[in-house]
Amino acid sequence: MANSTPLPFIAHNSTVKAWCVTRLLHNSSILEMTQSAFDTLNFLDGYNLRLDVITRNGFDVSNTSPILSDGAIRFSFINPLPDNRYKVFLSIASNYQSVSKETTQMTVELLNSSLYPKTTTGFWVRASVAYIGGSSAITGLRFFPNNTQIRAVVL
Amino acid sequence: MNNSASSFSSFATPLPSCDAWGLVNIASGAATLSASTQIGSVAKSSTGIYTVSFSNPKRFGGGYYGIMMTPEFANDQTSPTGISYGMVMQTYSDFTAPLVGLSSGFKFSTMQFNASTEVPQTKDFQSMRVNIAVFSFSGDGRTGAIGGGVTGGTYDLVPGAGGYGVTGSTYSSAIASMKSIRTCTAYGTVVIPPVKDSGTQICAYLENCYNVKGVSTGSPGVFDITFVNALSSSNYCVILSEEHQSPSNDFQHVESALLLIRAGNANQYKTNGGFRMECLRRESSTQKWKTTSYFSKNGLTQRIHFMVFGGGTYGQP
Repeated sequence: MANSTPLPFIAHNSTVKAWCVTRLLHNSSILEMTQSAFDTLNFLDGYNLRLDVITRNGFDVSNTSPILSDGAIRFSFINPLPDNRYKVFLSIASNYQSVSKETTQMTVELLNSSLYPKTTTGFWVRASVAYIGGSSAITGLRFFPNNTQIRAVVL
Repeated sequence: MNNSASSFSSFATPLPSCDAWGLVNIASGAATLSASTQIGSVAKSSTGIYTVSFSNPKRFGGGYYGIMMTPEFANDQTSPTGISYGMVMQTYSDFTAPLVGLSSGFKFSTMQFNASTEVPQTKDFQSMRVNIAVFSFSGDGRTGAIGGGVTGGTYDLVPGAGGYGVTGSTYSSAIASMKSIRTCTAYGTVVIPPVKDSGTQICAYLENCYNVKGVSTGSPGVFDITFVNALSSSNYCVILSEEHQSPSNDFQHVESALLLIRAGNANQYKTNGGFRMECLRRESSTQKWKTTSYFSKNGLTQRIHFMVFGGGTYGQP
């Protein structure tokens, strides 16, 4: 199958189609894991990609959703890509000084479904700290530490 | 199966590049670099925690860079409990609010779920490799600005210094991504469509590839990638990522995937000509991590993206 159409080699000298580093913050100086949603989503650096304020199904950046058991986070391109056959690589990290690394597994997943479509204008990710305790299974999007970074690179 | 039609020797379109990549070898708790570009050293900090130092921090002067990592195992027997209890890698710095990166480098941890408590704990794997790629572009686009281009910052672009070419060479205007050892030597996507089966069968095809000839799969969650043109070394870096249809509006534990490179004994599966990658998921009944065809047998499409750095025959840093 032919490659997707490359973008012009332009500003920022970026050699990928898009990338960004973002930060998710609480307003309060929460030093422990919390069940609260994020208050703010910060763009730190990048090219042609930003964390969008659009959220869906319970992921609430206004701190009104107590448990992030569903939903997704939206990334949007500044300039849309020619097609949706791009590749997204993701990683997530946080401040281990305030979160016990012994009890957390941070994950970030790229979604592509009817509810969370991957389109020329952007894509949805599901970020979580999967909490596992005792004999229980992974319980999913339960806890977020403050100061979480999500990094995305688009080829 | 769709083959890639592109040629390895052709640079007709700009190829993606990273700012640093490395292949870290971890054996008996000690970390060494098998191959790298722009990564100067790696060292163990404490149990399951390793420090990666850039050889040219100016390139990462802004401190905001994307770190992508993929674990690599020869086989299950090389770690005390195998990887059936899962494996987690996380990157971090000694952050204080606000969360920023460090231009000098970063740390990463290797963790595994405790067999009885299922709590992830830092651990030194007896033998594994870590594939690392870093994306910053501060060095490319901002000419190595200290402080990320702030007023009063120091700027330099000296051939031969810190990875900006070779002393004595003549440089004309050139596209930075051309013929660099930071340039991708292969990339692609493996698509795993739904199949009507009990889960023992799986099919896969390629989408949007460069220097990739084919993919084969002998069992669910195991994929062998073949390059069009073989690389010059098997010490290359592979970064994996997954894309899938969501089985529910809610998070499902099967969504968490452990993507890894399976090198095999004596690198039998990771060669100059290709590599093997696996996708493991946590089985809720046994709580073990296994290769699985969960998505395809449940009518959902899954994609695994990969990009390869290193092993090229071109050499400008």
